[in-house]
Amino acid sequence: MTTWLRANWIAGLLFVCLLFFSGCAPKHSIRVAGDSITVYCEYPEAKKVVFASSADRFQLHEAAQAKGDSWVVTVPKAKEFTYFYMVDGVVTLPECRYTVMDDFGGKNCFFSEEL
Amino acid sequence: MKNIYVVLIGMFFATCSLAFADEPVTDAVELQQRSQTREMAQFIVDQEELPALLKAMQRQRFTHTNQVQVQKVIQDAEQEGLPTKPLADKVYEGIAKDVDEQRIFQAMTTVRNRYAYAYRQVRQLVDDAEDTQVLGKVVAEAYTAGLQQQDYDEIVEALQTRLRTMTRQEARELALETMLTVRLMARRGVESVTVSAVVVSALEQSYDDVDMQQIQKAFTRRARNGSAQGIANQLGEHIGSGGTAQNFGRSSGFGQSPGDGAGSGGNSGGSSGNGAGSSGSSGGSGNDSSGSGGNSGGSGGSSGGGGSNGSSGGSGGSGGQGGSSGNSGGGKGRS
Repeated sequence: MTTWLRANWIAGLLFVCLLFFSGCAPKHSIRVAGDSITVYCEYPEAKKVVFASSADRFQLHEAAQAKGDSWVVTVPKAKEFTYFYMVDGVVTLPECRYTVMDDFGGKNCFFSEEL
Repeated sequence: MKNIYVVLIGMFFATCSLAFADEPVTDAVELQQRSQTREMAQFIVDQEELPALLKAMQRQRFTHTNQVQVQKVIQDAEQEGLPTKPLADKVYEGIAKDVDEQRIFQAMTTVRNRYAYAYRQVRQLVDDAEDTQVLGKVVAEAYTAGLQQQDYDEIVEALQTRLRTMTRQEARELALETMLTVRLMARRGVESVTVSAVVVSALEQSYDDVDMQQIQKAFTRRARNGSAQGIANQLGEHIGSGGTAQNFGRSSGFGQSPGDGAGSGGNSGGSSGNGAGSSGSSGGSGNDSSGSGGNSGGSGGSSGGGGSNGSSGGSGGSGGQGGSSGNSGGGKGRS
């Protein structure tokens, strides 16, 4: 009986962990291919997603809706750049690994081939 | 019941292994710091580009006063030998973010001050204008990534001590590689104080420019599979205890050459904590037969006292020497 309870407790704990870490799912990714970089992100509720980066003076690139909740945009390749999204007009950072200060009191994501 | 556990555990690890999916998909991208620094020519705003900036400000309905101020800051920066592209970029960024023009101007001034400070410090190290541009950019970018002035000052002090006994060429090489190391670590999210401690320690141990390059490569490789902060802590300990840059590269567990002792990665597991026990997991992925061990070391680092089980780094296959101890885990883990 004790073993059975313990097993259920562990299973429950694992389930809670699973729910908790579901935030680890890839909501953002960058794919480098040839001379272009394709950026994916997931904003399920968004109506309009725009990508901007230092690679081209922060020109706004409207993302296209792909499968499911994904948005995708392809831009010319650059070795490194800072970037962010405007999701329905609001500055939004995806779950990026590297960030740098943006000097407006927030941050930008940072991409570099080296890192 | 067992099957349920297996499925749950599988799902758990599958989700978390994708946590940092924004890493570039391009593999085998080598560290190319040097070639990057050659691209400095694009660093100054072309005079022909100023009208474009002006147009962008007008579209955003900047007041005439602010338009003039922005241009003045750019022109002054140019006269002082400071880069102007980062300033113009800040204006474009602010416009893209729909930031109030006054805040854009403030942010631009912040960038200008950062570069001015970085350039002043760099001029203490090198006297050549081109070197100043290259180093100044690297230092300013390290600041943007989180480097603190106080920590940087310590680095400059240690560097100045070393440079006194060097030829001009040696000095510029060491200064550049040191700053590239600093920027790399800062960008990877290593705490400023740790960056300073590691680099100062390396300079005190007479590391030269080639050693600094090796540090960069080893750090980049290892930090891809673990906590950058944890790796930096290990690096600091390694250097502090008299270890060479080459040895740190070898102990990364990636087996730079067959039979290279790749299995030794196991001994790093969890040694630095910071939730980074996973750093031990990279142990032993060495080439060919060199070092198959080390892949479970440090799995417990995230619990703070963890990482003590890095002992499995030992098998090392037929070629590797194998990580024999794996006993440095534990101690500093934070969460």
